[in-house]
Amino acid sequence: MYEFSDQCNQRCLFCYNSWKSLNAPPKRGLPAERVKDLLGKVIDESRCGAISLSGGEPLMRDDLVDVVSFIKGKGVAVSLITNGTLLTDETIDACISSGVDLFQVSLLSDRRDVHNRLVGADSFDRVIEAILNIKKRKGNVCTFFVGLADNISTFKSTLELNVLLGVSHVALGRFTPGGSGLAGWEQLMPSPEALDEALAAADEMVAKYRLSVSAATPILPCLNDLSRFKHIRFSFCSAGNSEHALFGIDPEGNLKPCSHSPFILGNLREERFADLIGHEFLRRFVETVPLYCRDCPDVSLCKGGCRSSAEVSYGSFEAEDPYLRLWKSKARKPAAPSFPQLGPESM
Amino acid sequence: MSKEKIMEALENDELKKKLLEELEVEELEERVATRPWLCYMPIK
Repeated sequence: MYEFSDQCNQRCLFCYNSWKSLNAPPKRGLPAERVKDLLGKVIDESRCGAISLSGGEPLMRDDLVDVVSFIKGKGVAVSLITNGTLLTDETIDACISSGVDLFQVSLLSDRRDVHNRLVGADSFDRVIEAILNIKKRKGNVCTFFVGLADNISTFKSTLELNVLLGVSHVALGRFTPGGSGLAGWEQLMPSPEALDEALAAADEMVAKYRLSVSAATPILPCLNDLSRFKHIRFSFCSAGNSEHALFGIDPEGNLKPCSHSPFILGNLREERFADLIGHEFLRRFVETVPLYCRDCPDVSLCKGGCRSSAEVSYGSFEAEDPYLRLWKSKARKPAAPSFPQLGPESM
Repeated sequence: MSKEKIMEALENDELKKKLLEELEVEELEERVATRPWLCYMPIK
């Protein structure tokens, strides 16, 4: 995932961009020619199959289409992670023509007031219009719902809105603290009970409609019994150096273990991808499990949750996922794996 | 479905229910949920 633009036209309460943390140094995006040099090198060195362009807001840059065409010319799939507010008829046409394979648009609620409050902008109607226009132009679109204390109760009705919009893929990202979302994160975090209710409603919706719901950030089986939700795909940390590993690249070309992590493994313009993924920090990041989780039978799959949010919240990726630490009194440790039907190969 | 119709449904539960019922499918020919996801993107 390449953070193509450091600029954004929204002020999301939950934004995880590391440069939005208090006292973090600002990041400056590279000019298009240097972006192409960077991504060409990454593609050649990593054999990656897909690149997601995010931000900030990637459509804040007027050279997006040029970069998308370049990536597609290298035979790599491109998804656009966008807040949807700048997706006009013209930009949608240009993106589709240049080869964008998937638009991932943030839709935080079916309630205008809730969505607008969480993103700090009056954008709900523009997002709805953008999604419909992508569908009208036969583009692929999925939506991303960040599950927060303030909007998780609207997840079911937001899925209903997705059905009406003709969207068939919805990703649920349980809030993970970082960036500007670090300030008062305890108030933003949903409770396990509220998440359970949302997952139960989603499970019914998937069975009823042509809908795919995927949990894109870790939901911990010690706090939510994932085996209850047969139709939802649960994903856990994909950092590392395996075939399906996901890395974050910041606007300046610095490689990070994931998009949420502030840790820089090195700069891809100066160093080889293969050398950077051999970094000792990455090995420890992937292998470390919080002390509390070490004898849990589910840990091989859930990996103790999000290491990056532990790092930014408590200063160490060896700490517990903030979702667990906040609600630890409700956690249960199963005697046996609670969802043996899911193996890492099915993630 | 038009934006106006969708916006109207967001303000009117009965209308939303009716529209959703019309869209309901009895048999899922393809369970897209079986497609694996890599965090932010489905794996092709």
